[in-house]
Amino acid sequence: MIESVEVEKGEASLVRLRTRIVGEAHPALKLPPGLKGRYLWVERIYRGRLKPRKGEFVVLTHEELKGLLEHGREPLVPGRAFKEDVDADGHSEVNFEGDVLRFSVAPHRGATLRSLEYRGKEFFMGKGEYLNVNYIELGGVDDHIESGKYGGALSSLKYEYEVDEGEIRLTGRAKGFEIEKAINLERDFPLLTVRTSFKARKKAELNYWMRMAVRGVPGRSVILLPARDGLVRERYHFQYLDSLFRGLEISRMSLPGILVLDEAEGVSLLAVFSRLPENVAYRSYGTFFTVEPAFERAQLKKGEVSQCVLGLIPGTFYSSSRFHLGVFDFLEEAMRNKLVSSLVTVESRAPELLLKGKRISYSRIGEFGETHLWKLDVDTEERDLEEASLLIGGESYGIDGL
Amino acid sequence: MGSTAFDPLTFGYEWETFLTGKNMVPIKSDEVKRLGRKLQAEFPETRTGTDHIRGLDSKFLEIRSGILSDYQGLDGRTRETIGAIKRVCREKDLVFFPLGSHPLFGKAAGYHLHVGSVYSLKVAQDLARSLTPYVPLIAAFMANSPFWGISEPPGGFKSYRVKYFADWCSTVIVPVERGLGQFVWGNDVLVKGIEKPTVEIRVMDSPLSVSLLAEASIFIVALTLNLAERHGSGMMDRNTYMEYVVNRRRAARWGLQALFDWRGERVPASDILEELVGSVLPAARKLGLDGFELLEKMARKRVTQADFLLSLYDGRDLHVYTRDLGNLLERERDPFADFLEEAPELPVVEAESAEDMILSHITIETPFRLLYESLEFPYDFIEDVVEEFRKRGLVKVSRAPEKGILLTRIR
Repeated sequence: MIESVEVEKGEASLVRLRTRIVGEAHPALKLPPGLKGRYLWVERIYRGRLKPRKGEFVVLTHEELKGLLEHGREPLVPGRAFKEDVDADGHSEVNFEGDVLRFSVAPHRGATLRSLEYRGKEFFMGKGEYLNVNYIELGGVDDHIESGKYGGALSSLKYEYEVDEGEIRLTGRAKGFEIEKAINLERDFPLLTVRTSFKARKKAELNYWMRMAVRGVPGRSVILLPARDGLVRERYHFQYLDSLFRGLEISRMSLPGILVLDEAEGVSLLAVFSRLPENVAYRSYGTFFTVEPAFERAQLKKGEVSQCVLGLIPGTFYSSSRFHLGVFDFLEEAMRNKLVSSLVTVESRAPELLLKGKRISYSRIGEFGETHLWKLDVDTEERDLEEASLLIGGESYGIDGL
Repeated sequence: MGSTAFDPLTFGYEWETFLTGKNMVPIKSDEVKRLGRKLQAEFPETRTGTDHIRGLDSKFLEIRSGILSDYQGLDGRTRETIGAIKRVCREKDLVFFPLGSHPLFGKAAGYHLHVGSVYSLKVAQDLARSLTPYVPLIAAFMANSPFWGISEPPGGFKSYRVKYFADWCSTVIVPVERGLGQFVWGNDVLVKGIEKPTVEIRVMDSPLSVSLLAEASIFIVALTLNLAERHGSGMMDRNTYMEYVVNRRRAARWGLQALFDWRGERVPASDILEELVGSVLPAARKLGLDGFELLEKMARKRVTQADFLLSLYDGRDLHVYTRDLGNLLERERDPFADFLEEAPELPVVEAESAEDMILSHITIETPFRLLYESLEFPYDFIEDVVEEFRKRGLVKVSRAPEKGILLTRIR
């Protein structure tokens, strides 16, 4: 609210407003502690009649509030993790930096994986779309336990957290569950793992689904969903009415994963889940699209734990079928050019990369439910990949660039 | 049809308006409902209540005039109601925010005018058909939604609401031949006869100016009266229909700066409005309005409420702007009328062809469905144009069993 106004006249007036902070500009934005009731002088240029008067309300920008907010980078693990408000919501996110991958998590807002950056390409961060009276979409991956409705109890939950070398562990309580999240970034391999556990405080039904809001480039973003009757390929087109009336829902997944391709920037992102989702929904919005895997409801006894793991692996090449999804990239390391690749397959035998006439076997990272996660790294040049192919269970698959 | 079509001549409106908190976020449905009930109790002759905002957990305060018969009744009742709403808003720290879209959320807020009483559905259909060519002009001078959240650039369209078919509540009219009458939900002009003895014009954006609301309403009622004097045709002429469809899009984009295809010629929308203002004046006088002061100025300067909103926007944060705009609308009685005095004349904008509109919607593997739903041009028209693009090497056409035709722009 404006307490006083000073105006320097000219064609456009420079206006100095003495403001008192009375509350959030949107229910989804939480005012940082200690801000309410504080006074702040703000200088703005106004042309004509929009100039506010004493007693009226104004919305303050992040820039204007900067002086009252905690600022700058606060190191948590030197060279590895730091606190900083990267999405300009007034609260610091916890940020991790690996050799090729960076991520941010927002403990104050549902422990949302807010940002994932690979080689300078941001997968999630939105500009803040006002989707509802209680929800602003900033992009990212968050958790839900209420049916069909985003922005529910978990999205606004505040988590406690601890950080060490390459991992952040977050804890929160909501709706009869103790929730633990552990987000881990591999140091020398582009793999981010998000492990989410729900422990029932009493007998409860868990209806878990996650929502990945991915920045979309109309016509140039593609999502690949492996279904039992073939690979479903959906290209992102902004259509306003789409988000109101329909989305694509696939309840016949053959693999617990999806592949997101950004043809505009030549980057792909493999997302793997530890369980086969009951269905995966896709919806398009103005500047982003969502992928929403929903898992079968679980009846939990008191003290029982249900866990879901999400693996996120970016790359610049990819390979896909209804039986496998994979990404490939080259990392420079001590003057060597290293090809790294991750695959998720239905087939339990190790896949092989046929490269320059040689067969190179993948090594197992782990089992994700009924499926298998593999990795490979080998010294080679990018041009060699053009002729390469994947051998999985006696079938040969090509490798595509973007 | 003749003026006996109306027995008697009545009209009334439904005006969808946003009610927000001091942060400019629409308030909860229950609070809007309470205010609606309070207003209806205070003005029992009105039917004020709430209406659904698609995709938002809030509701419009829908101001319903009840049945009116002249300008004085319209203006008086509207100003009384607005006075009461603003009083409650002051008491409860709310903002009355009548725009065609909410700058932060988008969402289509309309102004629907009913003209009646027409008890013959056949006559009502003919009236709706006669009004069809004028729909783009009405959309143009009522444009008041140049913001649509962050997913669209401010001012990219003067009426994003009309562009987005008012969230499918004001869509391109589906032609129905005489003798084959059906109720079709959502048309820009709707034969409401099965429910109310009226023809409902739905294409207008919710206005911020009460003076414009009154003038525009009388203009449309008078135009409908004039059209009723003529004999309506049982069929929709193809050229007239295509002019309507294409002009509608131009009106959404450019408001009164649009250049229309009009009876086979290229004519500025503003010229058509200027001429019509003169020709409907005698009918308007019978309704108690002596002149169209605002509409005449708007036509002369090609300025709409959307231009007023855009004149205040200097690229700053949209939420900051929305709050400042809320202050202005609370503070000033009719800022649009004042703006009109000083507003510069705007130029006529060269018309984009229907073909260019279609081509600009094709990127990579664009589904035919999306093309149709973005433009609502007739299927066969789009198909013919796409075939022409294919022949000229502009577009590649592919087929997908689950999605139908996919179009990719080659150059």
